[in-house]
Amino acid sequence: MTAILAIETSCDETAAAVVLDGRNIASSVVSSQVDLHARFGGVVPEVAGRAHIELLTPVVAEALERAGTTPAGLDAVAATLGPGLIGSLLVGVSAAKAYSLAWNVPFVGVNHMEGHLHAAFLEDPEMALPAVVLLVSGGHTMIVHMGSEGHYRLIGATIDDAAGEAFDKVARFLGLGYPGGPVIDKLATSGDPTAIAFPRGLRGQGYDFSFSGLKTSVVNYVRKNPDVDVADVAASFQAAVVDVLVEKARAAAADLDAKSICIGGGVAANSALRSSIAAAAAADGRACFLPSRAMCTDNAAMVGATAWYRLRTDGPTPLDAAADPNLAIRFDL
Amino acid sequence: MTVTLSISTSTSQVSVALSNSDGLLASFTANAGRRHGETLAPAIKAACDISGVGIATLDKVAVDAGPGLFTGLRVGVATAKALGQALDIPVAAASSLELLAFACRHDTRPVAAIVDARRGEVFWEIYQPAPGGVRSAGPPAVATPQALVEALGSSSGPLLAVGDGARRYAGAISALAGLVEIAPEAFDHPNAAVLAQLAERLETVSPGALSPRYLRAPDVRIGWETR
Ligand SMILES: [Zn+2]
Repeated sequence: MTAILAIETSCDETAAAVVLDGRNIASSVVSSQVDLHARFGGVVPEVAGRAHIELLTPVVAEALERAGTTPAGLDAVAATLGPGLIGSLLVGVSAAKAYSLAWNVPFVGVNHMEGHLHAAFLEDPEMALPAVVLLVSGGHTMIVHMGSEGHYRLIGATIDDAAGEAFDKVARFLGLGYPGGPVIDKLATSGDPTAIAFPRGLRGQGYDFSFSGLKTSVVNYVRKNPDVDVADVAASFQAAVVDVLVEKARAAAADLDAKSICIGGGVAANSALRSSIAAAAAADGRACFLPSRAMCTDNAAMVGATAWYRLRTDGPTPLDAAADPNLAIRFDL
Repeated sequence: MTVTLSISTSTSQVSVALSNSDGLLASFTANAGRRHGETLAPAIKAACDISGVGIATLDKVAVDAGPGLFTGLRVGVATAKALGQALDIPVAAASSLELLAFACRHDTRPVAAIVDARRGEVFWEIYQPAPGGVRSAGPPAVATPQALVEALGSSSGPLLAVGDGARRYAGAISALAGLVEIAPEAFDHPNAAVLAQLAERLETVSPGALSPRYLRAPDVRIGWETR
């Protein structure tokens, strides 16, 4: 058995987990900084970096304790190398390298987005491949074709804002607070998603996404109609995002003859997206896998799962590996 | 015999040292630019390997906790905290400014330790010569080079200025020629070998209690584009 201590500090969650053989989560601890950033209406990089420094060692201690693991029982230490905020990434990467030195076990650097791709397997090891995975978060929006485990091809991505970023910006404009995803999700349940016909960016034009036009259109609409019901705006905006996400993932699954559709990333916790993509997959006769909300948002268990895979295929990561805010997933050609 | 690992990453340099009560066992210094995260762990490993010190036998980690470059401090302090936690040993924090001044303790003049804070500011503090070392003559401060020169100019006697902040703003400080001399370049950065000399006197804390000394409130711009 291989036990990996994994650390995730790419954005505003300080997380540590112990994962056994890449599949079994012995512990997963996530300390969210959301309260620290809420008053700024978004993640403030310097505030995040400072909080990670304070939170990391207690979070790691708790992950080890909950797993009932002593350092002697660990076979490797992993951390997210990127993408993310550099000042945040550096905390987790520096600490992971130090643990690896102290315990004399390999260090494994992991791509955060690859972690989101592996999150699905943590909860459904039997997930049917090939699969189409829709990865949607505050930093990314992409459709990935997973031919076999560890082999991915990027099918489409956003050309401007990420879906989660659109949620945050619209929520901020509407004065709903931060983070935008959960507040809009909640408010939308009492609004009419067909009340306002917001644009569906790049609809019918391949697998790439565009959300900046949608955000602008929400702003313009509300300025022209100041008395509009905010719940209707939230519901209609959310419907516009979900429509394009589901439509494109569905088309990609059909084109690639995928056996299943899977979602990941923070926006995959959105209830409208979850029900809509499940309905679309069912209608098309495909399996649909919706990871738990805790596994959609940032966590270290997904980093540990990916590290196990990377350790077997690539071996340890050198100690001079750099945290990289723009680290790209290694896609197959 | 107690073995201490000392770490300094508060400026563009990365430096590590291993020492025991007999003195220095190994030290390593590199100009890391902004590559602290890539340089520090291999440097610690190299210092241990070369001096034959098993990292598991360390008794203490001393770290330069700033003030200085925020990214550098995060790398150094995160590393010190994780090593302390992993090895279950105490850690100790030193001031980057005191390290600069301590390296110049053989000078008879008071020392103005000045670290480049970037964005047109410096972190600085005055130290007085004292038996066996130096003694702070006031709390550390953040200042523009103009304000620094004004403060140094009001000194009642000659001063030695040291640090990468003094180097960067040497032009402005040269207005005080005759009163303020800038120490040689070899003293521009806090050094772990100097920290090793101070380490015995530092108060040790648990790894969880160790924090960087920022001296500046966080810049609250939201990082939309960097997420
Ligand atoms: Zn994420």
